[in-house]
Amino acid sequence: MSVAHTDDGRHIDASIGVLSGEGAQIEVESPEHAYPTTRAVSARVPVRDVDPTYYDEPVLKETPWAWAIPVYFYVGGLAGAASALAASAQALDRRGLGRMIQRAHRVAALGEVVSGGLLIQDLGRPARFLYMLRVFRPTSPMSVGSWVLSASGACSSVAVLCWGRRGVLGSIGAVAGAAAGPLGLALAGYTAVLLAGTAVPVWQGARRTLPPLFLGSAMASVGSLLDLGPLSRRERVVARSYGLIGKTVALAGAALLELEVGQVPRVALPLHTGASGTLWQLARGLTGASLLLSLLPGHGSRGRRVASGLLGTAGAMSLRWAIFQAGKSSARDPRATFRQQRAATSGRTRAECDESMGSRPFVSTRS
Amino acid sequence: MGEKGFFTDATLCIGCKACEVACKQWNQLPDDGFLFTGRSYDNTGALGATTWRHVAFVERPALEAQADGGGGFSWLLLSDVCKHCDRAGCLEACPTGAITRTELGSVYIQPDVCNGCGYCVSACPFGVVERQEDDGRAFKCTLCYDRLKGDLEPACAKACPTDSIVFGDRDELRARAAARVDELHRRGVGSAYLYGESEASQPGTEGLHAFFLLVDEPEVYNLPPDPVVPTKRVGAAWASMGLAALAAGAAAALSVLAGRGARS
Amino acid sequence: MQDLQSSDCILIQGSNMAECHPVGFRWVMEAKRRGAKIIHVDPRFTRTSAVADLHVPIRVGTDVAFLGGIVRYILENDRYFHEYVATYTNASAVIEKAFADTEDLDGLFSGYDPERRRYDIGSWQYEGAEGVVPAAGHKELFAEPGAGGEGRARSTTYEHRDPTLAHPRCVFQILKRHFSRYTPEMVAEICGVPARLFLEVAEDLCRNSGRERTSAFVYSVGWTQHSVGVQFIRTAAIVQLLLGNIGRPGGGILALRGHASIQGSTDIPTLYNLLPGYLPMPHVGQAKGLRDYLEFNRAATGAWSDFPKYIVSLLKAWFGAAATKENDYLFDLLPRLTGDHSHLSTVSHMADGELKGYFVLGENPAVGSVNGALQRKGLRRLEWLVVCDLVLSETAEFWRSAPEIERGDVRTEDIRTEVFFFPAAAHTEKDGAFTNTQRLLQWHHKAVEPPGAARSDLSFVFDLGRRLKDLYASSTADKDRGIRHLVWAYPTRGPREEPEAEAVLREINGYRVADGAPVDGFAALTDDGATACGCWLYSGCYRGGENQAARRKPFREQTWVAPDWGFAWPANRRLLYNRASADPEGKPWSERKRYVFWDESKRVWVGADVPDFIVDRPPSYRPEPGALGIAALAGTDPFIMQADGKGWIFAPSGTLDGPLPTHYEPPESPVENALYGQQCNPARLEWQRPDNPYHRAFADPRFPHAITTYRLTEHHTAGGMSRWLSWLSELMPSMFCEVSPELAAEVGLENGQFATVTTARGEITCRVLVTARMRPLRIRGRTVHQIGLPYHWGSCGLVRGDSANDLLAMVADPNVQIPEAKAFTANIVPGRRARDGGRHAAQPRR
Repeated sequence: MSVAHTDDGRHIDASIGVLSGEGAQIEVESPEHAYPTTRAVSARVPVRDVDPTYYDEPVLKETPWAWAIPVYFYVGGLAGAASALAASAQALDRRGLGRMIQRAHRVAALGEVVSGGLLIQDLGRPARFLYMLRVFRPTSPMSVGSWVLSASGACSSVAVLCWGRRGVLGSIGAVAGAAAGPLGLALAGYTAVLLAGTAVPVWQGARRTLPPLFLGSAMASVGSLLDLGPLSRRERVVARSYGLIGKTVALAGAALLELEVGQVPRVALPLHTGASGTLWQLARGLTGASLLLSLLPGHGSRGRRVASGLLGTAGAMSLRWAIFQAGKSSARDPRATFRQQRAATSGRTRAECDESMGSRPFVSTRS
Repeated sequence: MGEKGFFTDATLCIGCKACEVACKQWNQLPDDGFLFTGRSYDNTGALGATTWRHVAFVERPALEAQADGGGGFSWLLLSDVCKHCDRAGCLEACPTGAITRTELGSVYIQPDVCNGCGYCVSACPFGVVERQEDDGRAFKCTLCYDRLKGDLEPACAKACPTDSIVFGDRDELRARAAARVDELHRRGVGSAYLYGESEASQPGTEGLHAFFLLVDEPEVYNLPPDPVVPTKRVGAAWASMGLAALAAGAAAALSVLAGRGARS
Repeated sequence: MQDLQSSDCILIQGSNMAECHPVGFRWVMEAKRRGAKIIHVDPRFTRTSAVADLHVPIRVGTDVAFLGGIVRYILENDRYFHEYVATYTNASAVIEKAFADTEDLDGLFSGYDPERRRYDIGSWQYEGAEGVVPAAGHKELFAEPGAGGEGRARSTTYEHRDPTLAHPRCVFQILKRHFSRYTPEMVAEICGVPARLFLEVAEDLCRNSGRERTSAFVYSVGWTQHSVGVQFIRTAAIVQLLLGNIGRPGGGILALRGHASIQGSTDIPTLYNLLPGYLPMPHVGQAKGLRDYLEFNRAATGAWSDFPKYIVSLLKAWFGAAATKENDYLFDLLPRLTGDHSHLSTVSHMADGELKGYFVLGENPAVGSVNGALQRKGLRRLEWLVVCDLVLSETAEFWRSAPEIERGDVRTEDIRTEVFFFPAAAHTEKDGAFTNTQRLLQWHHKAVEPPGAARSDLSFVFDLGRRLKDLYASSTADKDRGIRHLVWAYPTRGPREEPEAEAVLREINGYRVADGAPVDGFAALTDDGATACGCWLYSGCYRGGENQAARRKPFREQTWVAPDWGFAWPANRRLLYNRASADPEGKPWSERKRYVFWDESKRVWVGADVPDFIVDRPPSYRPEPGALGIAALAGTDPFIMQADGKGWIFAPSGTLDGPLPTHYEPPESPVENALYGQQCNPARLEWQRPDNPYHRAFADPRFPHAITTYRLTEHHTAGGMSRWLSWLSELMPSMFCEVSPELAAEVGLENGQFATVTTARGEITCRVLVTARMRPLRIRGRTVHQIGLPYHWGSCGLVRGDSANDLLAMVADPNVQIPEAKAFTANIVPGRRARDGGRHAAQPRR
């Protein structure tokens, strides 16, 4: 029977049915694209588990973000930390570091433009990217971040165009460059808050250590990037210092993160297993190697610096990817969520909670 | 209008999935593909962008094998839905302001504003809202906002043949639910309890507009035992970031000063 | 159906009510809310069991053993409702000496003719009654003894009875002896139900019956679709009569039918052997005229004695002014039966090439009827086939989409059948009535126009009738007189000239011929041609010129009986035989269970419902000796449709396979009959043909497991209304079987993977669902596995799969020709069936 109907899983004949439902506007190409719950056929016959899940089905939804986001974490962090460096240099050594300041401004501005592009690319409706600036919602790290990125990008761009010029333009550039500093730090650090402000166990569980980790890594990124190019002696010192501090903070931050997240071992699982575990180790290794190269005598040589820079850059990028992938795994693991919450309520493990529950399986001990 | 909500009672559910179908039909949602999961009678899997009611099926054989058969076997049935939390993770995370609180207390995503950033997806502690990959925007249960504006009750509540899903004023529902729990306890169903009915019992979300009566632990139904809206905890992250930013600023300054001290 | 809310105990057996009647199930939930105990007896633990208080796993087809065990329990422990049984049932009637029970004849009753496989029921009669005592509902088997034939115009006497229930040949003692071996241990051995579970059920029923409490039974096709289906229901009737639950609020037996309006399909019948209102179809060679027909079919006493009024009024409705007393109201123009024209017999003849054409309206026999291969073979032998349906069902597409064609056994090019497909209107696109399972007519209004060329069945049939009348208008042949005289003048409406459904309803209600005024009910019908009525049972549905079926008074504005919602037949009575809700003096048995009772001051029966009794007949009324017709009913005879006004514990006539239910194994069983040498129903209908092969009756080594077919909530019968909708298809996308973990381990089946189930009729592939809800049973010392098969899938639609009915054979209950569909044997192996070509249940989108 040839009845003209939509083949999008609704099978509504548009000539006699009005598509006015809330869900009617959802544009669907293939219904099979619906959220792929782990609907691989379950081979297990139901048994009563001591540690139950619902057919191992994730309790959270995995983030829909793709490759552009971890890349953005890196690029945004790089840009932000570069702005901070530029602002400091502006304030404390304008004449000696003029070239570096300009370079940093360029890195920042370019980085922020690229960041914008990456973020827009990842949107479900990229044409609506300006809607990010419809409201300012302080509760939402993403809202704050959107504004920070916009402001920071504006400042950095102005700084690129105007800093170093004479007259009014130069003053404007200076102000812009100065403003870009703290904005840049916010840019570099807010992405950690963005992750911590989700329900994903490993991200939320790292909410205190993730920001310093990201900031440190951002600083390390800048140092590593600068190391790749020709630098004067003064510039070399600045870049190295910045990079050293960053890498140290990053490594320390990583160790502390493992401690913070490891309070509930299941939550830390993605850091030790799977692709995310590999990336995590890789990130730390690369950063450590980069740090080592920077510390060894002869670090000033061009070859050494480039090697260190490459390792550091790779390390910083890997770090973002490791955290990102860990979050995806973590969201997919229902037991991570369950145990994190059981432990948080009473500090006891799930099995211990079980015994004392009585007729009411869960009692909140917090007010 | 007062605060409205759902009370879903697992002990009345017969697993008929009328709620799923009514929701799909009223909202003209597409199907999610035809996949056999082997998970008891649940081929829907979970809530998602195009599934706004999901009936869970949990077969629980007896703990102790009873030689005579009969008794001790239960098949838990429950219709899951967006919880429309009092403190909603999705709402507080949304950067465009697409997710709003309606005058009825429900949480509603405005599809003409949503730009598909996907942040709400990670922010929901119940794993409800989802970004539809082809369309790009995020969708979830609207608590039949369009029906409510027309003085009709939501499609799922209307379709439910046993009134397992009841819609109404939240205070009335709470009273009804409490009475029901007492009744069940009196009849020997000691494991019955309410999930998310108030701020006291679920401080992390400060109570749900769609709360449940369960007879087993929340994990069994794929519900988190103690969900917390992430923005309640994010303050610690901001504080940490603030301190770290200050330190980073100091680090930048130190680096510059180190450079000044170097020979040119 | 809302009467269930006042039950104290509800036994759901042979039914998966929550899954198959979810909306009606709300009344069970209401009863549960009020404290009733809900018991579910079923081979599988289903969604009904999930909310029941007790689930009793039972082997398919052994319900008579189970219920018979309950009968024995009631009698042994003296738990029957003494006054009710003594006064309202035929427990005290003495049966004649020639009667021999199954205990005497190892599973047979007296009068069995093994060659014809039929019973002569002469020896089953009451002592002293002349001829066969007529049964109320047996009219359709006109040719059979017991249709009132030999008992014509005689009152049935009750002289030979023993009120003390002690006479060795009184019904009560016969009953006791008949079920004496149905002990709890025997029930365990046959049904696989542990004795303690069985005793718990029996005790629950007994405890919840009597003056103060009532229990209800609910059954559906889990009882009817058996070769002994009628006897399953009979056993429940015996239990309920012994416990005094029939005719009482919260009591009785609720039959749940399989579709929304299938009750209407038997009332205004699509059945071959019935005229509207369960009037029998005349039989060739038996009735030579209206008078003989009436003589053979009427009962001398009881409410059925008014039957002539119903048939005459029907003839007046159909033939109008041309039907007069002189020409017997053109009774001779009605077609005559020549034998069994039931569905399975017809298909058997069809497969032999004996039928030219077939109209299939809203039915999908290629998937929904047993022995699918034989069904489709029949379709291939037709000259023409007309299908009216919402979708291109497997029946419409049999010529290019069928398992045989896929396998290459049959080629489309070789099929010569001409197939016509008429798209049908959905229920929202036409006016009409549903008659739901509780005899309730509910009118539905047209909401939208049907799309394209789709039309309602009413429209189709009306148009067909008009064209046939035009075609035969000038014929002078005798055989064409029926069509020519048929009155077919329904008013039409709209550009497509659709007949007014309400006009049809008005005709069904009945009217006075002289002025067309609607009658108030069947009591107003006459046998002198002054009234016309399309269906006497429905009379009253248009009382006062108002469409009673369209009434929708909200429940908050009326009593719980809700008489102002729709129209229930007969005469808007909601509870049948409700005279029995009052004691012999006419007072309610208890305040708690007050329903209908005698009002001494007004001298009428009053109560919550329309009294199912002669409204002004006092309880003290006793008929004169030799009284006939309705006058023969005493004030203590609640079962007014029976000639003797009593509830029949023992059925002297009316059933072809025994006056009492007997445990017979299904035609294919894993085990031998533990009680008798007679393994299966001796009177069952079989079709011995090579394309309908039967397994060995028991313990066939090739097919060791029991299988049963059933429905899911998510799909509707053969799938035409559900497997074409994405929202339903995604809920249950694949054909699957349900097996226990033990069987899965034994055979090597994996959850979610494929298995092939085979019988001698065919093999199907399906997904496997391993679940502890299926339980192996210990039967006579060995383990019997049961496999569950939903039957919804076919080769067309959004989701496709193999059809479970392809596995089944044609074998049927002799009384009603309903096929066995619930208990067969089969084998199961892992993997897909041979020559599959990679086809699997999750089909890619078209």
